[in-house]
Amino acid sequence: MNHENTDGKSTDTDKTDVLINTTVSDYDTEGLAIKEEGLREGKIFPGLDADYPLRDPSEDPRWAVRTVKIWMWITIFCIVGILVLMILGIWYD
Amino acid sequence: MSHLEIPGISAKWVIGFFGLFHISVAAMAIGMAFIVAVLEIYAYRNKIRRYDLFAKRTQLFHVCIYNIGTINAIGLVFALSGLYPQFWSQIFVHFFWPLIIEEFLFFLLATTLTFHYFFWEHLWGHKKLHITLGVLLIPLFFLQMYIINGLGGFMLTPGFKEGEVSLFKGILGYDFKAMYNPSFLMLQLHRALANISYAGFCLAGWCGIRLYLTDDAKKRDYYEDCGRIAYYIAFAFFLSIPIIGYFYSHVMMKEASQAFWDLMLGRGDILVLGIDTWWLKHFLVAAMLGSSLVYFHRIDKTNVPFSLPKVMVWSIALFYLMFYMAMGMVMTWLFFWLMFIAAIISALISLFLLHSNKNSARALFILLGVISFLTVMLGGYAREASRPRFVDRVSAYDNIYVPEERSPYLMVPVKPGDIPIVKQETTKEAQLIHDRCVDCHTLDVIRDYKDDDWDEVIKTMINYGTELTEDEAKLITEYLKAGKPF
Repeated sequence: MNHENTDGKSTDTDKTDVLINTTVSDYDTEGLAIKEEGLREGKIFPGLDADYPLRDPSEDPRWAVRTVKIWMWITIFCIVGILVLMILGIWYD
Repeated sequence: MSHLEIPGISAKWVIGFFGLFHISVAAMAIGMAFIVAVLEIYAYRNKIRRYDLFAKRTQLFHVCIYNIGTINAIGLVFALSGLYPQFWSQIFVHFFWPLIIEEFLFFLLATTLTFHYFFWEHLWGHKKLHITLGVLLIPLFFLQMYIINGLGGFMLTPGFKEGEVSLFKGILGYDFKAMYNPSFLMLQLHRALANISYAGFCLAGWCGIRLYLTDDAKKRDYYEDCGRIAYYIAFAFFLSIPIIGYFYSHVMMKEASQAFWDLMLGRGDILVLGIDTWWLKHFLVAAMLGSSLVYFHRIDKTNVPFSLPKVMVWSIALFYLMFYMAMGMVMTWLFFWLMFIAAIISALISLFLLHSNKNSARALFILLGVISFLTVMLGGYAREASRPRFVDRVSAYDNIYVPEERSPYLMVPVKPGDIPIVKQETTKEAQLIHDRCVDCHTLDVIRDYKDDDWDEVIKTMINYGTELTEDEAKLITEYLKAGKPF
């Protein structure tokens, strides 16, 4: 399996290393089998030899990125709102 | 009786149980938000997989304890509103708007925390976005703690003179002076640093347990390394705690003198089964210091990538030494020497533990995790037990908000003076007692006094600095002797 490591270079690495703690689709039977075997043999924990598994942004599920972005801005907006309320409370109390 | 009673356990200990349980979990949750963010950023910048993994596993634990802590907080509110209905009703109205924001923050935190953990593996291509989401947890947790510390500080120093409740308000449900009461800032700083330190020691303790449970060399290396990082963070935040502790004590001495002297002299509820909980807490803190000095001394001799700067480690030791000297001067030098001995005994035990585990810190991690848990429990208990019971201490508190009067005003802006305040008719003598005695202690100290030697008591108080003319002293003495109400 090709895996893009932290230097941006594509290298061949052991599949178990790539699968360590990364999401495997329920339909990826090959991936699931490798992961299960790795778990059974104790190879997967805890990915000490694995590269830092950055990947191309296009590989991230779009729904997940959108959900987190929307939520992040809602949270930032709420924090700012609460801070404004606290500052206004100084004068209006 | 101002509250319901529970046979056997007592209402006080029901609240005590919920409160301490909540402190143990909530304090850890606040600290972990910071530690996870630091670990994830550090792992990303240096591209170290194991620290990212440690951050993720910590965040899973964090999600679990956050839920437990939140449910426990609801239990605390239920218990307070059932067992101390008048007290809770009034404090809830006094801090209505901050508590509504607090509730909203619970919602924001639960959601953000859950998203942060469960989207971890989906965002390897957007790591910075994921880190930003994790970093947002820090101000959210800080704001939540900020608000609850307003209430916590108010319970200790309910105004700018002990015995007075702030009633400076234009909007019913928010009281600026009550929120920003005299002990607010010190409580805020102390808890912010202590929570991070506590969470770090607990994480190191967890690594210690895992070290005992595995024979795999790689895993041992992983847990030893991650435990070390957690220990570094925990100990670094030890740095300012004694400095803040000193100023916190100073504020208490000025603004909550009874609580201060209860702590210093080990009076009242501070003693549990004859044990002074505050002394015991400091005994354990000194033990943590002694163990940590040995740990850092040993770390310097091993082949680890980095350690905390020596100047920082020794500064922390020096600050604690100064703190204990200051406390020794106020109380007794026995306190100072006991702390000194605790640090030395603990250092020797730690040397033995490191040596017997072939330089693995697994036993030390567990020891420090357990001790930090106990210090948080004891500190939390001593803080609440030192002050006089809030319900009893402010005699006119019931008159501030009368339930049937408050509801029409709850949602409308009202100006100061618009709210009807029922005033108790007081005699000149009672007013004198209210005005002069609460400079140093609360009124329930006078009410609880069993003897009848008021002449002596008043003379002693004047010697201590109470400002009373001869006539005033005579009036008060006769009044107290007659056993009249105030």
